[in-house]
Amino acid sequence: MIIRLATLNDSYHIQKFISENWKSDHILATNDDFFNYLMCTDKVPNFVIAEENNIIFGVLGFIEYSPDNSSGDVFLALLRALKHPAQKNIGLKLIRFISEHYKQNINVVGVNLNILQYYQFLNFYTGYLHHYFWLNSDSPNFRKYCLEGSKNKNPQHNIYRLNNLQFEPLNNQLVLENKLLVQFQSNAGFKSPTFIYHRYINHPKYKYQLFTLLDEKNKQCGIGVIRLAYPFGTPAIKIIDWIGDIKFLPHFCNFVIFKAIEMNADYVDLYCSGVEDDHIFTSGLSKININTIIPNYLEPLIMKNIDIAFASSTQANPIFFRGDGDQDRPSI
Amino acid sequence: MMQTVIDVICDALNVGTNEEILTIDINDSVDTIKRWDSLVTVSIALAISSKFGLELDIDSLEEMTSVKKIISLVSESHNNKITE
Repeated sequence: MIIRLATLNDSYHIQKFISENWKSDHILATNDDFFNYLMCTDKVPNFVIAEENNIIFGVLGFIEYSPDNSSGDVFLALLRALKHPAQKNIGLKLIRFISEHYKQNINVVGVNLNILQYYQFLNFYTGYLHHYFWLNSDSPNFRKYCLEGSKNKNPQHNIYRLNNLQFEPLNNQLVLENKLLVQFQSNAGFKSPTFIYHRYINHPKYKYQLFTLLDEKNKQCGIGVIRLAYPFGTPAIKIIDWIGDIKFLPHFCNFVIFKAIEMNADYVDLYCSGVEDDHIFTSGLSKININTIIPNYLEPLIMKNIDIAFASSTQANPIFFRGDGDQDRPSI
Repeated sequence: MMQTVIDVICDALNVGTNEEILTIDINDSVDTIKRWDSLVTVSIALAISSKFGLELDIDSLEEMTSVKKIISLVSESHNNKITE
């Protein structure tokens, strides 16, 4: 059994492996362009593969946040390993290979709960993203998100504007030119301007909206990313990412809630780790509870609250969002 | 120690399954227990490491294919620790 980095010629075989051993209609198996966009650099697939006699027994994908910088974070995605008659723990060996190959932070957001122990065994820190929400009681779909018989209060009327900080739609060019991005980021996967442009602005399937926070002197303090989704035909707002000083995250969430009120969106939700609940609560968001269902899987819609687990090789309390790794992507 | 190791293996085999609770004895192995897969082995390794303060690597996992081998692995590592 050989474990190695994939090369240019492996794309077809990796996609075939995903199709045969995961889902035949998985977008990374059926859509060459999307596979190339998400999982390749210069058409070379970012995968580690385990193979024997030219047969693939396991794959592990990865996404580099700063491909041109050897200290940038690496996020793992798509781990799949088959049973082999003689070789055991192929999945673990794939993770070990990549941990030895890349000396920087190795992170995973959206770890399959069955294999969370793989990461614990390899001494990764593990945990869960917390799920926060604001539900619009004026939406015609309000009751669809409440468990039958539950007494959800009307949260909309408890929302106050945090202050007069200004959020402006972000000019695309500003992202690429933004030198301030470097100072924004601490304790979170560092995202280079090139990466942000690629990940959000240039995304071939999803339309993301980016906003920048300006302080009183018109200085940029952070970038927030949202995406509209339509679980029941009317909009809901998913907060995808916050790149900036974490003290302003509640301000961004609060801004998004008022945007949701304006457009009568069903809800606003946020998945995030590493930030104190009380800090988030000042925005008007609440923590998910047993009376409420805020779906995470919308294609197709699955009305279920979902736990998103993370693992990090170096950080006990990392700040991750649902935009990290390959979490916010179409599946078919 | 032997009984503790057997209890740890038993717990790992019975966590997160709706199947009937399993009891095991010293002669059991991956060949006699259907639900003992590589994930269960990792669970056993994590529990053993925590219980006995051992550091196990991936190569050790390959050895952990039967109750006897796990007892022997724990026993050796434990003795080595005492000698050190």
